[in-house]
Amino acid sequence: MARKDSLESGTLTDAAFYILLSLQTEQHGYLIMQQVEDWTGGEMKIGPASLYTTLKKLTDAEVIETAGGSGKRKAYRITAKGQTMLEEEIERRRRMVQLAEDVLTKREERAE
Amino acid sequence: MKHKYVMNRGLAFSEEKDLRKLSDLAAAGWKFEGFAMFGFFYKLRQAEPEAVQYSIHHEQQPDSSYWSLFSESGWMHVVSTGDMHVFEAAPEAVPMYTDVSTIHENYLSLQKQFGRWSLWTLLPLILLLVLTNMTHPVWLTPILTVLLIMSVTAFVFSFMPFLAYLRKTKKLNREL
Repeated sequence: MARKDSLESGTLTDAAFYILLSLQTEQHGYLIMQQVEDWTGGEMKIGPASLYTTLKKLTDAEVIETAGGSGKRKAYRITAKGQTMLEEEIERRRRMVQLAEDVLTKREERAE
Repeated sequence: MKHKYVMNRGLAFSEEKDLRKLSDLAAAGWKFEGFAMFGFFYKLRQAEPEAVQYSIHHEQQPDSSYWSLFSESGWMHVVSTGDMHVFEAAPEAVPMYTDVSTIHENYLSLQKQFGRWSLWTLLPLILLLVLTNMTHPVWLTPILTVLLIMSVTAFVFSFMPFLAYLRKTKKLNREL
């Protein structure tokens, strides 16, 4: 059940991570999908059902909020709580990568 | 316009298989149009052969931003029944579900919904079983029998999907 409750435990799924990143500027649903796909060169794609559910979950957790938007399109923006969460997540992921790099360099050094 | 009908094997049991079959039929010139006969059949319309994929999403209160999110991503609304919405897209469109946790959540809410219905249909069933086994006037027997059959049917059609969705969420739980 690790992922389902990830928001409560403070970690973000990859999709949520990219969504929060793209919401550094106010954005509506479809543009989030496009931006994430562009940023990652198509490696990370978020389908509409997944995006819709994730946006709903993030809104319920007050990590993001709706920002009006014109007519048919609902725009979202990140909240202060969401910003803190994103920054903590970046830090967490940085530590992960740092550790991985350290372990691999040590192994290479031993091999030489 | 020519129509034909294909049996719905129950979306709780063979959603993937059925949706693939609808794609095959669309490629053969029979496009899915909606449900017929209380949802037991898919209604198909003769059309130009087309390569499409189908997917289903559940939402109780879809607003206009809901529909535009799907259509902008290439998923066109075909038909809705209750809170279930069927969409179609070109084969190259990004799949509607791109992470396991969303699929899990979708099935979990269906499991809960059918679980609630199972309980609600079980109550009259028990009541009727008790009544049938108590001494009652003869004229009541046919009425009780009919009600009993209806009640069993309602229960089975709630409980079987509940079990199917329960199995799906259990399986996805291991993948999460």
